[in-house]
Amino acid sequence: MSIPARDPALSTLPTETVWFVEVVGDAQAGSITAFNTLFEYYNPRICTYLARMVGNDEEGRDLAQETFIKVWRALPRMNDQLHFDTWLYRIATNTAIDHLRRRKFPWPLWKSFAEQEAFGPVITAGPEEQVEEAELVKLALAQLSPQYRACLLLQHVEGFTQHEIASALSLSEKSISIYINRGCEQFRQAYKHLTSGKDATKDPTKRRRSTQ
Amino acid sequence: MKNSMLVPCVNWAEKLAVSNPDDLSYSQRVALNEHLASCSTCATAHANHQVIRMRISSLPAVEPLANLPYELLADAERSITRKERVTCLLSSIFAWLKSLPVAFTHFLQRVDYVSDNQYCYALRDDSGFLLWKYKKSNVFFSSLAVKDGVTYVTPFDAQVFLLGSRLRPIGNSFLWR
Repeated sequence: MSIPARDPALSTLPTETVWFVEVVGDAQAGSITAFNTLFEYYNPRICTYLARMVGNDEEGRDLAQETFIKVWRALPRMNDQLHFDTWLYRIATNTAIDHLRRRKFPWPLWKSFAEQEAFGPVITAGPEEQVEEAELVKLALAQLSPQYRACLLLQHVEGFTQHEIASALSLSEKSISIYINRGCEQFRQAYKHLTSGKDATKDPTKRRRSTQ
Repeated sequence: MKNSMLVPCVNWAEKLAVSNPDDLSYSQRVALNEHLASCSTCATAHANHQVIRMRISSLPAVEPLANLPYELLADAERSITRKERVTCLLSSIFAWLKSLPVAFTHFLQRVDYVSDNQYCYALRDDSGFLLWKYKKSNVFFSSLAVKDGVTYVTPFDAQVFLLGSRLRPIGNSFLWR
């Protein structure tokens, strides 16, 4: 049995990478099975990334579906199979940004703790603290600009290098570095503001002082 | 209000937020660690970045879609096919237009002939297929040739004929305006 000839450029790459490139190549050629393999691998990450980008889990899932349909359509025109992931995240990020532009209310999550208190007190006890912490982080993320948010999520959650983020967002590496720094600072300020707001609403003496 | 923003050293500010080890070379990492040991502001800023990274990365994952929406992919595929179909249709229209006489398409016209009867002229192709017909009128052919009972005109006269007829296309045939 003859062994099919491989692209000589791939011979220097690790076996997993070669396999991955071949799967992407098959998906490009129209193989649903290959595309399903890519979908199963990336779908959980893309869903989470998009949910964090738009601040809503359900919308994140819908956008993930939209992203994969766009990817399926655009796959035949993709050139660089080795960097499929950055290309995929570029499509996902653009989908999220388009969605944010279309949305009438920019941030459904963008409510201060004081506003949330108006709808019901936040109970913090035991494991619920973790839920509360997650909500705080989501709220703080929601206050960043989409570009900063994308940079922070790609770096801290997806583990991308700054070069990969630059490629995914079609920006220069220098800009990414600046965006991450500014994004971190904005996140820190927003988180601090939210926690102080929360403390104020929890502590009646502080609330009284703030209203005087 | 007190401004709590830290101002790290200019040369190191960008490197403090780096969390992926591939973003810095080995020597840069060593130099960064040495600097962090000697500069408390940068060390605090670096620690802040690490806390932010930890907070963001510890967010729970979102439960993903159950499976690939095949029917949507099929729709996407169909829309590509539709595009291709439009392209094919356009190319066939261009091919058809190319085959039409020069009066409509500006392409060279093949040699046609006009048959004459009492009431109308008919322009047919070499195989006798009816291309045009025209009510008998004041159409003037400068170069008529009769062969086996059929009147032939030059391509030029055929063009004049077509221009004068003010025909408009309907489907694959042409009707009077």
